[in-house]
Amino acid sequence: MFTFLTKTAAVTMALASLVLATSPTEGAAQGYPEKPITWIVPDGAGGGLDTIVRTIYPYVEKNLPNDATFVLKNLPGATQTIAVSEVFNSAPDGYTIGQASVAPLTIMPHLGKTSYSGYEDFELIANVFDAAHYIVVPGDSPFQSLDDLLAHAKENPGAVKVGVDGVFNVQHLPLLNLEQSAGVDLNEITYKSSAESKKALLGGEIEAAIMPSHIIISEYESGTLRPIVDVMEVKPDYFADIPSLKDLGYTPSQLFVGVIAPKGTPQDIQDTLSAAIEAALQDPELLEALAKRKIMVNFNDSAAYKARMEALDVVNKGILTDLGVLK
Amino acid sequence: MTWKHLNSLMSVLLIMGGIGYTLNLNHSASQAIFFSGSGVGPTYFPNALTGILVLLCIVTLIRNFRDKSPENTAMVTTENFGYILATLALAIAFIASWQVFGYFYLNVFVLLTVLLTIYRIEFGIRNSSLVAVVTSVFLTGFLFALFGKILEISF
Amino acid sequence: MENLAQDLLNLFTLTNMLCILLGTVVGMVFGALPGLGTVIAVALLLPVTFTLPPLAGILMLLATYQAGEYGGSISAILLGVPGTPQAAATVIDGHPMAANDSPGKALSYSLVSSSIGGIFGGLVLIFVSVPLARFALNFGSPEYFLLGVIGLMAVGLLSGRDKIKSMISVVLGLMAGTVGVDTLTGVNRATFGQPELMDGVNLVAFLVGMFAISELFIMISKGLNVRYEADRGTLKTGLTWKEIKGIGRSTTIGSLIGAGTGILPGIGGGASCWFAYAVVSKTSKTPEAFGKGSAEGIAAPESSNNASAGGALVPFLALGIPGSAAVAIIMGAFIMHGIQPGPNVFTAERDLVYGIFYGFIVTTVAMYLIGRLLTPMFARVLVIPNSFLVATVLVLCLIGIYASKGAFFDLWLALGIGVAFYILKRLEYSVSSVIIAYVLAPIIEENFRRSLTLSNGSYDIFFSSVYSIALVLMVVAAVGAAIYGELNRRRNQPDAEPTDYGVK
Repeated sequence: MFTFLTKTAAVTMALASLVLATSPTEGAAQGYPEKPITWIVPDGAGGGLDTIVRTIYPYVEKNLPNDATFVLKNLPGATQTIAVSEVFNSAPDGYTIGQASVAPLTIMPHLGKTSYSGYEDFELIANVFDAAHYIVVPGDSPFQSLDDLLAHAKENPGAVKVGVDGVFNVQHLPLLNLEQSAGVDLNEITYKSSAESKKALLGGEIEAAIMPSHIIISEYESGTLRPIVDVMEVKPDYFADIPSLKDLGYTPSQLFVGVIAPKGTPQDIQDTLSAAIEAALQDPELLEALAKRKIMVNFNDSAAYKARMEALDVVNKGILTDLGVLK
Repeated sequence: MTWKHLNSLMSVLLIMGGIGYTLNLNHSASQAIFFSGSGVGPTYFPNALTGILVLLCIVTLIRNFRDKSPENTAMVTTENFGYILATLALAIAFIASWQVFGYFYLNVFVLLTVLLTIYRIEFGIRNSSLVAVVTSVFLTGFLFALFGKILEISF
Repeated sequence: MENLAQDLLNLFTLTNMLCILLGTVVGMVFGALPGLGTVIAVALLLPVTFTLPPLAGILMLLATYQAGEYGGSISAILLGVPGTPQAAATVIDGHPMAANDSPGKALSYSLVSSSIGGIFGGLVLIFVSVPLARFALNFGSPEYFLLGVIGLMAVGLLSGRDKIKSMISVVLGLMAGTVGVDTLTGVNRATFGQPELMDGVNLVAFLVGMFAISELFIMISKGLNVRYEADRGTLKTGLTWKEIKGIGRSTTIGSLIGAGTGILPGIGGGASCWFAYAVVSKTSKTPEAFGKGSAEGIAAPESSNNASAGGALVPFLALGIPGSAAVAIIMGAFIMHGIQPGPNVFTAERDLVYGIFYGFIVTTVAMYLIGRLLTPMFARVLVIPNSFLVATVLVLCLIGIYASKGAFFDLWLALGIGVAFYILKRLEYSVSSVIIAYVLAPIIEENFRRSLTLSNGSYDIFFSSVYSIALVLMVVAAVGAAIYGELNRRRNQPDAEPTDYGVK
């Protein structure tokens, strides 16, 4: 019954959006926006990504013409795919945009868990920020570097326990890739969240864990946890002297979060939005607020954002194919 | 319907639900290729639970068949059953209308007005509809002020 | 001493006090509204705190959290509909006491025990948070699994009249708890193709359907336009000293259990209230009163859920690991102000941390005072005829479900669950068993399987630490005691019926 109802609703909504989307595609930016723009947030109210969007959106509003306003819509769940699907199903009239990380665009579609087929089904407006995830060991760990860890793992296959916060995600895939390219067998232990894997690492249940950089700063300063390698491409300045996978000659992964829109959103509206985001991300007031929260602002325009997405998609597809998940 | 019938019906429904759950579970698990190897997979516990559920439901069924006490063979009576059905129907109409058409606050107003009119119909249609409209205006206004204006949630 | 004076001076500013006041009122009201609850209240107030000084903002959220834990019991007691998952156990005795005896008294018992639990949690936070947080790290996956099993046995203690149906209820709860993407393998389990089910059955939808919607149908059956006959006596809210002493034992047990489970991240208030209820009801001098409006039965879960609020802050402040969903959101306020919770916070942000410590006690006092002020008003809710109550509560429930995740699917789900559980309740299946089993299912299953992955399949891991061995012994002892008790009961009074916990 639920499927029936959602389907009917989807059809009705599609019809309704056809009726509503009467604005001409050419010169659409003239007078845009005429009404509030819905910004879909793939996170619950009060969550990490939600609070970031809530910090940023007033500054984007300020840089849009015609007294633009945003309405935030929280759609958490299913590795952001519920929110991204909502963007996919929205009318491409410039009145719906969404925030999205890389997992719902370059991993989940390949696992067959989405209604859209990949990042190509969206207009990529602009990238907003990057995140770094580190392989972290306890302060008193014998592993001083990634090489130590890998060497130990080579001698003792399956003995080194490494925590990740979920499977087939931005932490798990790079780890599997590293295992393959280094020729080692690690015991991957899955936790529900980074908070859980942090607890397990501090409690000595596992030897290492992959964790986002900002949640280990305090432990790093007090010496109880030690990041040994960045698995992502971009490094935060507070861990600048810690090597990344790329520095060590391995394929790094990437984690970046940007703004997307439904496929077919008029080009000039896309440009308007992209320019507004770029201007917002230069506002010193916003930059200060984000720096305080250890967010690595990294504006990419549409072309650069798309190029990074494409490159990452190839890497992730490769890993999933090697694992036999993807044929 | 007697309590006995209702009891049996519920046991059968639970068994069917359990089987549906386990079929769906094993189907999607069979699609997955990669398992981390601990021996206990993702279907182990759920299948065990379904087994226990079916077993317990069969025990309940048998006990129920044997139970010939007057309480068990009595008819199920539900006070105000009509009102319950009406509430359920209105709730379904409300969610469907909200989902399809939007206009959350209008839907809330209509739902409250109709519900209160029906609930208080014994006081006469005039009295009940008047009270219903006034109450609904007040409540909808309150909800709009709280959620729409103060908390800025868009429904 | 100098420090203390300075800390208190920092704390008692007008801004801080106003923020605590606002947070308390919002928390209490949202806690009391079925379906909205503590987490949503804290999430909604979070953006407000960004414009405030750090201490004021964080105290506002803590006040909301504390007051929400008490607020959840208001609707649990008056309507039989728990406002928050943590108040689900309060229904069992709170609702009968309000219906048969005095709603004012029932609310007062809840308020007093909540406040004592809150103060206890605050003291734990102030005096032992660092050593306790480090101690809690000894509890790894095997220990969590065993704790979950002990919790499930506590459900067994609560089971209603029909043992088989109670067992079916437990199995149903466990099954509901397994729905969604499997954390360990990423396999979709019983999601029936619905993306909304990938993160599991939404707790708010599940709880509201099971408790609130089914209860609304029962209220309709009871008569729509009857008024509760209230005279001044039953609405009176004060307690005598003797009455407070009567709940002393259960409040102590509840506070200890609440703080204990609170410091273990991931267990939380939703389970601790049941642990407390089970222990108190089984060790009470008057076990026969439970389920019929026992004051001890209100005090145990209520003191435990407020104590667990303080407990949940322990791993958060000391290690940066949020102990509950509400604390995870409060963490947002810290990060927003550029403060990283963790071992350094005690030195780097000393003034803030001590402000929070003492402020937490103040939030409890504020909760008590505002609770005293508002309780007579809340008690009057029962004077409103059912027709108005049912219509209003129905709308609030639906809003609450939608506000939690923005998914219409959850509304349909809650409605379906409501109808199903209305029938199941009438057939004497146990709703409390379903909800506690649902909460415990992932704790038990994930930690069991994770333990085996950690040990490469060896069961020795469950006997590998002092703590796990102690927990195994507790399981064995509890099973033994249950069997012994049952045999004894059968030998002595073969026809006696076990206590019916009002979960009919």
